[in-house]
Amino acid sequence: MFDLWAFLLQTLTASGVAALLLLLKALFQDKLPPKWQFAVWSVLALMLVLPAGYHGRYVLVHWQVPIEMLKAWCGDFGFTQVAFPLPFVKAIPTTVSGWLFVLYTAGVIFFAAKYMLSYISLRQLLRRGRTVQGERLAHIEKIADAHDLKLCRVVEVSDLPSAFVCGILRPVLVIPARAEVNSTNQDKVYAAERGESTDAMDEKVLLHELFHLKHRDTFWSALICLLRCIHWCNPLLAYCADRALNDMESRCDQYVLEHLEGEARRDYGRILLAMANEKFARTPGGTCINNGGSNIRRRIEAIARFKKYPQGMGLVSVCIVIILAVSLAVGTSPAKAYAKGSFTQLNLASARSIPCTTYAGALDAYAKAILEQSGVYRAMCAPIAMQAELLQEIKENRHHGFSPDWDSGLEVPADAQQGYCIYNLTQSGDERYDGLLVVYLRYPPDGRAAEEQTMYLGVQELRVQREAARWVVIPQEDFRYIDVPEFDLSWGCTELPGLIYTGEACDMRAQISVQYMYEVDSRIETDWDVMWGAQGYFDTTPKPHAKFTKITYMQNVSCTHLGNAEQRDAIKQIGLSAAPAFAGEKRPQNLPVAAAGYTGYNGSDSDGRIWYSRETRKGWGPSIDLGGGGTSLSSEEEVRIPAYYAAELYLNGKGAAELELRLQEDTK
Amino acid sequence: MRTDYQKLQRSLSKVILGYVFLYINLNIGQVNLLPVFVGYLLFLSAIEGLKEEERELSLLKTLGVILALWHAFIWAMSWVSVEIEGKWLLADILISVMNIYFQFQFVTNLAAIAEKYQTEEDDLHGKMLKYRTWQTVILTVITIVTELLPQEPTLVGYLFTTMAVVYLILAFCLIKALFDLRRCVQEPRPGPDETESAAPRAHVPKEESTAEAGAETD
Repeated sequence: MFDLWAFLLQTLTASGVAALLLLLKALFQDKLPPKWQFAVWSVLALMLVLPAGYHGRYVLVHWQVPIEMLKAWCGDFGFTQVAFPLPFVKAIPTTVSGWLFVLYTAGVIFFAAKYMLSYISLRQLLRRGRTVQGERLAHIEKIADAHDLKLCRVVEVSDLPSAFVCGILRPVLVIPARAEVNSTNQDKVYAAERGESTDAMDEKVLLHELFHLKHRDTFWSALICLLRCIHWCNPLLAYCADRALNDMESRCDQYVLEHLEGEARRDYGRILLAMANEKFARTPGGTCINNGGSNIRRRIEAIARFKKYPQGMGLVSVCIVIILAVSLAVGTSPAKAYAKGSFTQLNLASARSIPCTTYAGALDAYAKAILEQSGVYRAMCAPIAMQAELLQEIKENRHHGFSPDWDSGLEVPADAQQGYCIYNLTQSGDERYDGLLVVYLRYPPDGRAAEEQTMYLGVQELRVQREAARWVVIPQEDFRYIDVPEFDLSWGCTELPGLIYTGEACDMRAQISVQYMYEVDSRIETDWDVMWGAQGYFDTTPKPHAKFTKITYMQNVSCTHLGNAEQRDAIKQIGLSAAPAFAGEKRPQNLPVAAAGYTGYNGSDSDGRIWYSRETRKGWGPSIDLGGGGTSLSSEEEVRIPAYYAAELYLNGKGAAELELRLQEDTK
Repeated sequence: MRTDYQKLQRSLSKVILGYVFLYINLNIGQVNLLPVFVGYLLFLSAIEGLKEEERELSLLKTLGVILALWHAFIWAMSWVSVEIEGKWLLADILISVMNIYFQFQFVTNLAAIAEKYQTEEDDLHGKMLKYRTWQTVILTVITIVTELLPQEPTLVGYLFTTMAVVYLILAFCLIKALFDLRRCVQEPRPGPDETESAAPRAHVPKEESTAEAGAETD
């Protein structure tokens, strides 16, 4: 946690989980055993250790939205991210929130020091004690053996209110120097009446501590104290820490009661009642049967409810904890930003709280912002530097009742139902890509009448890059407008730019234009309907975690004659076959023959090889399109930009030259 | 206290019918003709009849009422084509957890009743506990798979279908065991000294048999 907002997100997320656990514990108080009552706190510990808001996900409550609103109010538009569950001050603060974070961190250090001192004083207390030996040790060993429990070093210390276990790596059982300390006078009377020694009651206390030892409760106690320190200013979590420690004691009470019978169980309750001293109740790395007068009441109630739970209860307890842990750790991905309504701060906070975790997702959010003319969608993928300006623009436009409330830069509305396409996405740096956005326009941009079989496109160069934990889109130019013949844009468009590979031989310049088209599947098919059958539509809700689902590439081959018209007339047929060659690979061999008379002399294959030839007409040229072909790829990993094309030129049906078509760097 | 066998049988019939409502979906559009909440209402009614046999069943009342209300709400919403499940994580978690516990404890208690009434050759108690354990495990796996792999509908679909088939087989086994239990819970026929019939006395609850035996000794 590097700032106040990250801490708020972490602690509020954990608070939601804590509230749920308290509700469940209340519901299952008399139904599930104390073992479960303690084990279920592991879910809260897990949530406190896992960074909140991972991948924009939230748990129970979408806390990111109010936090983003608060941040915007403080003029901070950065993405709230919890990288690490411990606080760390990176630089001297310059803002109020920065100083508050320093104050909070100081609090963590203070409480950690306080607990540490408490632990040190406990260890010093142990130095005053002496290792138990002889008859008393034999008595304790007998108790441990009788219940198949392991024993550690036992130390007795004078003036100690009750026994406890101390130490995480090498635990020590600490007992009062006088054995009868844990017994009240009344207990002694009861014991005497039954002809028992007061040591018999100590046996229960020792048993309780031995169960702590068995379950390594000193470690859990230290962990609870650590988490309590980190969230020292959250009273709900402090309360949960107390409850967890109390449940740890109740769990050991349960173990003890399962080993006792009849009157001995009631005696155990009396021992607890006799304890009100809470000197070592909250010491990290220690366990003490006596965890404070107020908690004893709850434990006595648990003892009153004591029952032996049916066999198999462990299974359902574990299942419930697993379900809670998995469901809460996975959390929920926000469905979409709240784009509706007139509360601009809320709308934009909601958008900023949904990070685009993939570059495809960021491009999808930007394209859909253009299609819907939605400033809220734009905020999802806008860099921090643009957020304040965007907020201002939307606020002013909404204030004046302008619609749309954000200027996308497109002169005429886009046809949202046609969707969009990204052309030629290429990596231009570390975690940075450049590409061309293409959207369909509803009508010509300059007031012309629309023509038959013509499409009007708006295109814009974009850069998508990583900014902290999310991807953002930065337009590189204003929209340009292009008229093209009507066809499916996902199969390339010669009027749009591509990667150009050229090579020259025999006064002929051969050229291959390669276009890659990327799409995120946003089409939704409705259920079959009696009236209309199944319908499909383009869903304009951004998909911030999307991957490209359809990638196609298209290669167009053309030749330009560089000689004079007389030489050109002598060429009756032109053919070119080519195969892509990738960096570090040898020149591909056995290219197909691209000359008339050969079977299938026009075509392309899934390896990217192309072979086209064409008869010329009198007076042709100087350029001629030979044809084109493409294929679809199943994933982004398959996209490989060729280093060059190995090609063979055919003139008048005969092989004329071997050549290499090199990439024109300016077309990258 | 005398056992009211008819009341017990009626209650067990309600449990069986409740499981039919719980396990079988018969949909027209989005509306289930065998609504789950009716199943829980039948369970609640059965708990009233069985609580004298098994005191711990009373602990399930609160959970039963919550589950019945929630499923009634889902069912009502299905009439207006609104899908509720999967919308709120909080509700989904609470209901999953309550459902798993309810099913576990309910079958555990029914198994305890079966232990009292089963004949020596039937091991209804053991069978029911086995079905209960598998049911709990499968319900947990289904819940976790649904939470973990929402982006993999195909994989979830296959897993879900497999688990659902196993779950249904278990359900039928459990219902059969309940039918067997209902058969076991019968008014003991008069003994051979009272009539000529030699009806088995094994159906008499174990505690009552012991009590009677004790009385005879005295």
